[in-house]
Amino acid sequence: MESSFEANLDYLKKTLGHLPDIVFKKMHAGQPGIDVAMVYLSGIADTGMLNEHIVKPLIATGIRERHPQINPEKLKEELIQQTAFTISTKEAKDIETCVIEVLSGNTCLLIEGNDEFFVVSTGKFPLRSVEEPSTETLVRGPREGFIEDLESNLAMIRRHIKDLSFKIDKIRIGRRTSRKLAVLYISDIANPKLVQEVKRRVESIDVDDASDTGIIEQWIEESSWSPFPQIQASERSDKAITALMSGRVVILLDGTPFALIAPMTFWMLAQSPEDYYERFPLGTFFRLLRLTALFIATFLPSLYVALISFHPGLIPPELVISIVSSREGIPFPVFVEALIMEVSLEILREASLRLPKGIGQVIGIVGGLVIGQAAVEAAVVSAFLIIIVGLTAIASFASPQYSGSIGIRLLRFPIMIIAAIYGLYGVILAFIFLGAHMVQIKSFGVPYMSPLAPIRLRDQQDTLVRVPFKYLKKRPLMLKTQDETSANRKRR
Amino acid sequence: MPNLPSSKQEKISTIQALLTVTSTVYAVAIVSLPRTIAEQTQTPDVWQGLLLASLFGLGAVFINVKLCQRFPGKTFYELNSVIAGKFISLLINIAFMVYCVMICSVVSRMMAEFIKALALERTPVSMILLPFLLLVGYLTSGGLQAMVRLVELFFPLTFIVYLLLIILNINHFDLDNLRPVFHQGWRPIFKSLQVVPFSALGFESMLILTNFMVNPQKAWKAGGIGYSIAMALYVLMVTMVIGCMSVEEVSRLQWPVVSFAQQIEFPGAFLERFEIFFIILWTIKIFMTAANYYFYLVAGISQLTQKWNGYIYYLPLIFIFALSMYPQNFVVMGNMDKVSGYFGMIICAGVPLVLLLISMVFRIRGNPDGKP
Amino acid sequence: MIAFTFRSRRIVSVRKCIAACVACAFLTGCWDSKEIDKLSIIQGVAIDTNQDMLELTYQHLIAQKSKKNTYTNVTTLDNDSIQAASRDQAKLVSHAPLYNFIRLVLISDQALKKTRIDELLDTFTRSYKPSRKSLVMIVKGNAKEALTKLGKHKDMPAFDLEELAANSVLNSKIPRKTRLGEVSIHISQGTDFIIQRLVTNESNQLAGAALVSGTTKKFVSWVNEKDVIGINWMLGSSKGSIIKVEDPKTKQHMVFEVEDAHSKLIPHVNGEDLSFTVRIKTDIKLNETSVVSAELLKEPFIRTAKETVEGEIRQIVLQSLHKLQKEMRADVAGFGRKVKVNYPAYWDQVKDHWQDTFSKIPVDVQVKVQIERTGAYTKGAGA
Repeated sequence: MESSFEANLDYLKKTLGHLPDIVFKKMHAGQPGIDVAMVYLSGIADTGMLNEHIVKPLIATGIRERHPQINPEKLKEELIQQTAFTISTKEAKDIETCVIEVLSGNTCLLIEGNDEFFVVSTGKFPLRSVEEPSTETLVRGPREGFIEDLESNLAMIRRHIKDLSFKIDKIRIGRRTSRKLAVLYISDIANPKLVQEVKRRVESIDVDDASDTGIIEQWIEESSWSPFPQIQASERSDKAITALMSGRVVILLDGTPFALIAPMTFWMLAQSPEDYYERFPLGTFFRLLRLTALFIATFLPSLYVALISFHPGLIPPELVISIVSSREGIPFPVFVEALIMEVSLEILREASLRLPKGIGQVIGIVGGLVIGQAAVEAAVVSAFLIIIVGLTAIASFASPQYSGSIGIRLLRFPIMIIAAIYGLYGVILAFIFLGAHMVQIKSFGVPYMSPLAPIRLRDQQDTLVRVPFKYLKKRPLMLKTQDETSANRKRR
Repeated sequence: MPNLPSSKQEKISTIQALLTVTSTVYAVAIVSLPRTIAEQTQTPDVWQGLLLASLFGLGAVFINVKLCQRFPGKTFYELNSVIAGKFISLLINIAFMVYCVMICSVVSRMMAEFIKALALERTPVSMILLPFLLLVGYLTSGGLQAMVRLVELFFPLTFIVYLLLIILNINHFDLDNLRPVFHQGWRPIFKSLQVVPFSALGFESMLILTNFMVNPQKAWKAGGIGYSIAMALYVLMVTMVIGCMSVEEVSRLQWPVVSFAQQIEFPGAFLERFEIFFIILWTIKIFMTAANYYFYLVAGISQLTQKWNGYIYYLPLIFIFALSMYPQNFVVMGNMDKVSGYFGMIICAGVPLVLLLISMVFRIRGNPDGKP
Repeated sequence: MIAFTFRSRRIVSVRKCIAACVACAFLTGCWDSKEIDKLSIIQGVAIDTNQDMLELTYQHLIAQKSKKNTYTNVTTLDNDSIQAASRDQAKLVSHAPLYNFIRLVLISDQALKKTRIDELLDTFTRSYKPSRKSLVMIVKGNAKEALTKLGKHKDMPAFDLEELAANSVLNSKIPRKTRLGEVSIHISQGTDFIIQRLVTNESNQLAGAALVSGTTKKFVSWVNEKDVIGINWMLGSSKGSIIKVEDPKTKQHMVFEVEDAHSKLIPHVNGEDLSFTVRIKTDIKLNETSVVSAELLKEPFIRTAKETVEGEIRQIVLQSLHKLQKEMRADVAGFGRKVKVNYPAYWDQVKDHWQDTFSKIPVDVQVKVQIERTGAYTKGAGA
């Protein structure tokens, strides 16, 4: 018995001893004394917590236990059951996990004569306070966004879900960083096959580090060549909760505020929690508006190129005349002109994104107003194109999904090129291609275009439109949930 | 489950089968169909012939479905070897595949001609065809599921464009253009039956689709309704075109539907020319037709080789490209259209009928549980 | 479960090869790209004759950023081909022509006397570029002259004429606007038809119509305004125009606006005899009156007004019908078509000498008028 204690301690000393702030503290608990050792990193473990929650209970146990021959088994029981040993502990059997726990800032407690270790969560890291998410702001709705700490994020979700079947499965990701990753689902809603598949894929990730869920996303998605996001990323806790309620699986990673929601469909690019918080006509209107914006952001520049340099006959003559007069003296073909403007717009966006907020606005004014105005006056680009480019830019920001909208922004350029070769025919080919591509990709077995292709009539009530909640009683059919009804179960 | 590598072990729903049948019905014919019929009849009796042809087509759908239902879990490619034996079935399969190649080529070439005439005058036909065919190949690489889903996705769009075309022309409609009915008896109608059946092709999809369905017993419903929708749209269009422009005018126009679209005055005048808009959106419909036939072809090849890879679904495009580039002018194209029409009649209606009769007489049936 | 069979797609080498080939092919592309500012927008066409030659005038639009848009007319000649004359413009104009915006085709009566209308319009309808919606007008005298006259609102001539034609619904002395597509249908059917007639003096003016024969497809004669009114009634296209009548008792005038008009040509075949009933139904509204002692809402006034208007319309229609049958021998209202539709067997007997038959058919005109509104006043000043 004793040898195992010593051996473990030696092992820990050997593996962790080189760290400058490692502490091995040996204590005697009780009168004859049982050897107890605490192993922690003084740099990241909270010593106050250590004193309060480990040392004190140990001493207290020792005092109370007047029995001359203290039993290690009993000590353990005493520690767990009768003292103020309240913060979360884990019993571990594998010394390797113990090493990782110590490296994560927790304290490992070894007790003589016991094969098990206590892992006491003493890790304390600087935390950001909970703020409104900066990428997905809403006018109406909760302002709670995830932060970098996994436990706080779990707390945020847990606070709102008091359901027995709410399950959190934790695994560690990253060969060298060993980050915590949590897979969240509601076990009697979510399809078990889906949960199993998510876990299988997450577990199969073998990387040194995954510093954001973006990396996880790209490891577990089905079509890595697609420009479309196949898993939804969100900072909003309410979005995660809604997703759980509809039978989806949420993945949280320690160190990033972005949660992953799987499976995702194309139509989620145009959906925002606000659709549910506002009354249903508004929700429906917003969705259609966002889809239109997505369409504009993808196709407007190429439609412009196609119409102006291939089929001017399609435009009403009055408009043609004003376009022709606005293009007077411009040296470039429409395609080149549009390309220049689109690229400079992207540069402008990228530049203002990286700068501090104050300067970013200045860049916006200089770039947008001054350069735009000057370019039109110097007859480099036509005023009409500025309208088109501006409209495209605004439309591309209308999607509530940031990663979706950047994918779409990228698509604009190849479509513009094909439009410059084939005109409107090229645009329609690009449209067919996108269609053919999107019907082929899947997100965790759910077709990306569902519930429109394959058509699921029941899911139509919450896809393009959002019907009043009175009629919205069923969970999405495409997710093949176990519990299909979400509201008004007893209505008869 | 049909033993087809291309199926990816997934079945299609009744509504998917229905829409696929609708979209397989030969989409290019509609553009010139009013003329080809009016040329033959020279009287306003255009729709009766088409109606007769669609009844005939419905019959063919019925034959195809019944044949497939006798052999659960088998496609047309598989079941005919059970009935006719290895060698003859090989011949039938190859004939069916050749037919698919022909239709696919004709459809693609016609599409390229429309685009060239109306939108891209100086672009070579080959360059119009190339990206189109590659897209067909790309879609086919996704297998049956991708194809039927695309049909579902785009069907509403083409349907709306089609209806828009008809609705916006409604003020040009004059009933006098459709009268008198039957004043020369049945002769002109029978005359029109010489040309109409080609546009009624499309029922052969049921040969392939029936046993991919989740509920093959609903195949007749899906095929029948799907086919009827397509033919109803055809009859509607032909009637409208004649009703708006009169038989005399229509029989002179190369593509009456294009001229029909041209005379639309779009409300609000934000779209000056409806016909280019129509033809370009119609490309989607033609794409679906071409993709469906191409899939039937590729399904056959994968059946023969028991493989499913890039060679299978991209290489046949070369044949289609070559064949669709072959016609030098509209005369050759018309002939090709005619030949593939006759060929299709034999392969898709005649042969299944014979096979069905044989299997009924000799009581040949597949395993009822669908296991091969 | 089927939907949860997972597979990731590999990029096969075949695809890479194809992609490379396609990329090479496309690099040669942009076959059809034309810069819109390097094109010359053509708005209107005028066809004249010049000493046995066809004279073609295109109105090219010049769009300018700072100044008002202007136009320039370019005239070319050729023996008999429109297309050849059109291509001759390449020698004169530096921008390639854009035919899609041709909204107006003007034909001089001289040209139409010399050449068939289908020949003149063939190149426009054949190429799919000018729309079938383009307007056709027959010009008395010189057609290219019409393309030089600015409108009253200082619009460019082609635009102005287009609007002018659309505005013609307010006046029944002019036939409804005729589109290229309709001309094409008339040509195919071989029926006589009328087209708006344009007169060019100081400014452009629509006046009456030109009659084009369905058999020769050439210009026959002018149709004066009075006859056009009758034809419009027979075609049921008087909606929006006005009708002026005299009160039988007071001899003062009343003007009604036609709110709705329908006409029906009903053929009757009795053995070998063909007769027609023209049934006209119209709803009118009182717009102006100088009848002093009128109780506008009372039954007697309404009745007399109705009867007067009915008589007037009947009179007009019978007059113009007489002229059409006896003088012009032109069936522009579609009597022949009605016979064909309703009595196909009889039509087969008469279609070869329809012109003679038409000139001899007895026609009965029945008019039914409904007065719907009388405006702000309920009675005249003296009542």
